[in-house]
Amino acid sequence: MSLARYIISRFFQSIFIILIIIIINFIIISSAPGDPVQFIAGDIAIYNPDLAAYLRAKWGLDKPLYERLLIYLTNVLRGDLGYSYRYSEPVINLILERLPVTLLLTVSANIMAFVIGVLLGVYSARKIGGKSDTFLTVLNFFLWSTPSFWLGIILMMFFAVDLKILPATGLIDLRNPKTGIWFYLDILYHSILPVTTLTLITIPLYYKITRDTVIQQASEDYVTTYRAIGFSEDVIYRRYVFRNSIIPPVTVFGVHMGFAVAGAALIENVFGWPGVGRLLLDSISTRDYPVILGIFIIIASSVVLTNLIIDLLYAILDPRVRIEKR
Amino acid sequence: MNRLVKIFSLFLTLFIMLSLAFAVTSWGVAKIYAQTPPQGPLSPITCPKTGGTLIIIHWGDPKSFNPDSQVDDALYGMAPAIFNKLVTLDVNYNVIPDLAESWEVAPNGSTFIFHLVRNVTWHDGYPFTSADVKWTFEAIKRYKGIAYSLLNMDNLVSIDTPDNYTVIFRYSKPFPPFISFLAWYGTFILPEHIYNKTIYKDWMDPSIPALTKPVGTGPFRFVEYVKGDHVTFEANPNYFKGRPCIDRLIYKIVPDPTAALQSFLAGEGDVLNNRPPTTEIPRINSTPGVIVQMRPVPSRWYMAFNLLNPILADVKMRFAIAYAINRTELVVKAENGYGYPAEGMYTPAIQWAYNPNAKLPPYDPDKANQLLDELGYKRGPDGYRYLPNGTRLTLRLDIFTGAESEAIATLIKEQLKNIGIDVKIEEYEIAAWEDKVVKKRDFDLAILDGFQGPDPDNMRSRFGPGAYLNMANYSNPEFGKLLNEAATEPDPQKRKELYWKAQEIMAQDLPYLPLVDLVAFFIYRTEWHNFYWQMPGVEGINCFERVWWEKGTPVQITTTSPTPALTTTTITTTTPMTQTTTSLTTTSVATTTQATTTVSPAPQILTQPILIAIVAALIIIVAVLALLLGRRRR
Amino acid sequence: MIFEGFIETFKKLVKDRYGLAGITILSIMIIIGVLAPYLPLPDFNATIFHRFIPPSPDHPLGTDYLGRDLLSRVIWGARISLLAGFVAAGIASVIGIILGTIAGYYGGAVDIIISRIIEIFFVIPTFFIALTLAAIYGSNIYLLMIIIGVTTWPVTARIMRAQVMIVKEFLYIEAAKAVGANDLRIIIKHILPVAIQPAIANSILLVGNAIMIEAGLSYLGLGDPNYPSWGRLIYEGQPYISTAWWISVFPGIFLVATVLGLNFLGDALYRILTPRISNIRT
Repeated sequence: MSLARYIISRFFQSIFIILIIIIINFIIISSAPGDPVQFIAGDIAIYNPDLAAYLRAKWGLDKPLYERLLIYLTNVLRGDLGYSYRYSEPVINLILERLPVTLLLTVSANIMAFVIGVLLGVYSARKIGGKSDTFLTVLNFFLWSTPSFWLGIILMMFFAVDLKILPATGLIDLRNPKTGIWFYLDILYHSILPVTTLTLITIPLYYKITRDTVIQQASEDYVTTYRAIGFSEDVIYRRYVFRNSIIPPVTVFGVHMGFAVAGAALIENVFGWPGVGRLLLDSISTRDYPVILGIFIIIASSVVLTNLIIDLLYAILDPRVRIEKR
Repeated sequence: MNRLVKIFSLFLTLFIMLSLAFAVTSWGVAKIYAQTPPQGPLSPITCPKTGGTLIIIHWGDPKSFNPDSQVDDALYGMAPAIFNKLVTLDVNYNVIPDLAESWEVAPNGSTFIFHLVRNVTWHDGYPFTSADVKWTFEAIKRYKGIAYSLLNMDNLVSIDTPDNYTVIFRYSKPFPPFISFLAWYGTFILPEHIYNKTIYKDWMDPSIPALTKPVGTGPFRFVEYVKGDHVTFEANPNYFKGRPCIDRLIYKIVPDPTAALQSFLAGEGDVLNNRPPTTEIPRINSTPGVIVQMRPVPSRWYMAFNLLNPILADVKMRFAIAYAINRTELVVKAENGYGYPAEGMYTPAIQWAYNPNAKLPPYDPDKANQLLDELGYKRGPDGYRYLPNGTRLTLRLDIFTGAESEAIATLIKEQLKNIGIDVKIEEYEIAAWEDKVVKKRDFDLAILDGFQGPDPDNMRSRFGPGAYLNMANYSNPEFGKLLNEAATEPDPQKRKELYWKAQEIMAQDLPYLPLVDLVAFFIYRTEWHNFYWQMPGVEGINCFERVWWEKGTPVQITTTSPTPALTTTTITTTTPMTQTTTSLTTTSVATTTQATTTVSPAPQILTQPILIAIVAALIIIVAVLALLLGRRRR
Repeated sequence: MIFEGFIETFKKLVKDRYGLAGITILSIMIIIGVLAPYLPLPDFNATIFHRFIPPSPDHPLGTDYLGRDLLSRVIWGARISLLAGFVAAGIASVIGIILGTIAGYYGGAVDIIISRIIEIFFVIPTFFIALTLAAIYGSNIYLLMIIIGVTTWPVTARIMRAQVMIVKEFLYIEAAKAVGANDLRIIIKHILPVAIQPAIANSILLVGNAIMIEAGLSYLGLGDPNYPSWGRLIYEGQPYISTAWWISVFPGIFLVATVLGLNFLGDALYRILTPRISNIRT
């Protein structure tokens, strides 16, 4: 199969998957108990049936399910995610407003976790069976088993409430708004706790896969051969083993990046970050269907897109592919 | 050596990537904040001191900035900063004047005449007239606003405006609670000149600029809103009651009550609007510089019995449950003592309507057991009671998500277990709860909280026969008749008697069991003064127009309105805190008039995040791969 | 034969450091959970004590905001959380093994459909789906188990599919087919015993995962208020974290310890059951 053909077929597969996701989500959400109109029409105490009927007609909720699905699908294909019931604003704006905040959290945490995880993994694999390896492995198991929100609460308790050296919640210091470079430093300062929490629970992901791959590579035949030839351990590891074992963690990193858009709902909740995860939580509890669907579409598209990019990079860069071509 | 260089370069690459990703994302964040705040000249009034930024920690995002279209408690909390009503409620739920300086009720009880304050202007400089009032209420009627049913819009015959400063409402029937409801919810006066254009299909049309950048007559002008984070207002120098004493009012949005409390205690806010866990109240109160005030409010927790359930349809059963519930324990444990055990059928906070003789059954488990024995529910060996057909006496208790409702439900489960009733708590997120309990009436017991005021006519929508919210299906015709009569009775004394009678009937039938009368907290830092809590009769609920700050600038008494030149001098002498905001001000004074009238530009950030995501992901993947490939060639 | 295999695996597990640690932690938790009704503890729902008693001889872990004994609640929590974890993981494993086997064995159109379904699940964060379903359909512990089960099976299915695709090419399978054995018999008799090991190791990891998801949902207030799962205890204690830290710290420690044990065990099982395939894991 030629590369172009491969790309095209992958592309259409991706579109197809996103379409299926939209349909499934639409049906699940629409069949949920609880009427979005009731939510907009108001608090149960002053419920207003006239307003409910008015809004139902306005948002097209009086139409049958399949008709609504068709309308929604055609709109989405035209790039229109609709209007939020709750805010009367385009869904895409609501999501895009929150994205930078979410990406700030997830992207930085993911990068840090990747760096630390891979370095620790390599270190561990070289000292396999040693004290430091055992320590790191157990520590990583521990972090892997810790719920993010609990870790967040504990860190917040310690650094923000007891020691008072870090801010507890929020994104910037509203009381003393900063300008210029200090504005960015203020954001950085406020992001220390959430980013650290997310980094800590993401490290094991990279640590484990790196360690496993390095160990596996180290047991390959070529390593034995090079040893026999008389290459030093350092050279074998640095030149060959690491080079061959970096692909799996990088792949995981890429896949994880695709999920960056989804945010980290639990951590956002603990630290009061106005991110996409919290928008989803709010939207579910207020039955803001267009926003829920919109978020799912954005996440799915981002993940599918990232996977596509990774696959393409593989097709282009993978040494085996290149050798075959030659 | 070579190795060191490699490690160093690896780190350097990663560091560059990290800071690049960070820079790109925070640039996106910065864009959100970087709207220039327009600000006009200051005008000194009789504040002891001026200046300062009051930060209120608030529990939710407003849904829109149209305060009349949909129920939106988050916006209701901040709307008085931007808008005014004709009349409003003070902290004691008494009606006080707002845009209407006086009003008359015709003897027939169906015609209401309001005299408006003169020389009021909207934030964009347009004069406020009776036409705005007329349009607002016609819009409420046309678009079925929140106040539609509260204000009995079906019976509203006409709204007349004989001149620019007089409004007359005519109803087809007497409507005594009109003024109370007018002062409450969904009745903020909106600017006709902005909303009333033929291109808009209704008042929530997304192209109306005021939905995102509200224009009102209130003490503060809108500056910016960052969803999920904060809303900023600045003092309105042309406010008809005089310029507010503070410069800025910021609502910091923190939905999670614990996070909000931490944030408040860490000094990130001056007023805490979130209701904190009641166990924390003593600790908050003992924090230096912080004060907690409390007062009873007409809100209460109550329990509904589903009368469609044959077991609960028996009034004896309902009394048995009522006798078994220790309301004092609920107050002590679920509310940490901050509340009152309910005693009567209506809230005592609306004093005139509260009938102290319509008492609830006292806590008496022996009596409860005796009643259950009489009903023939025998105790089994496991301590639970069984129906004659051999099944266990089990009742579902449906609650919606929330710490207080969970605590109350858990306690009730235990208390009813003591008399042999097995209670299963079913917890739903509120939309699902409403669907199941209120709409489908599929429950046995349900607990909910609710505001019972501002007028006892509220009982009609909560307990009246056929009312949507009457989930117990209570339909005593005599009770319904009394409520309907009271709703149109112009004579206050007769109204009171009707309501008292209704409460007595309800106490005999007991379709609902009131549990706990709530208190409201007002938590603030003592360096601020003159909150609406301390100014009953003067200032409306949730309004911060008279607040002043100890650390502000003392005011020299100037009686005349200042010239623009004076502005800059006042600004430069204020505290460093306000200087950051004012430095923006001086540069933007020239553009102020345009900024307030033009439509806010479409969000510029639209394409950025996608860019950020792609750039970040690509850079990293490509960089790492390039690094590896580069090494391979060597 | 299966029994012997089990004994064999167990012996290897005990020899493995992580396996031993995992088995120890897990057995303690399971024993605690099973014995909960017979231990001399106050009723976990009884609101009869003073509130906010710090850890003390009478109440080793203190009492909570309604005056309930926290030790009793945490121990009952072991029962609830483990039950939820095992049932949810059981559901996920059964679905995953069945669908994975079918996809791997039959290939063709069936495989394409099932693989697409799996792919869809990998594209959306599982937690979000579970969250949406739990928020919409109510918080009932059994419902939560099912929701977690039906949202976490794809990993197992993917592993199983890959395994079956390898195993079905073995010669003796071909031989069995040639003899005329039917598909079901071949799958059960010849393929599953060889191919199922990684899926079993994975199911242990799924238990830990399910406990974490349940805790996350409970933390967001979507748990079942009738039962004190650990996640729910953390959620209940969070408002009081600065005044009564013990309410959410102790359940958290139990939760971390249990999931840690499960991960140790699952990881060790992987190494023992699938010496060369340990990097297939997704």
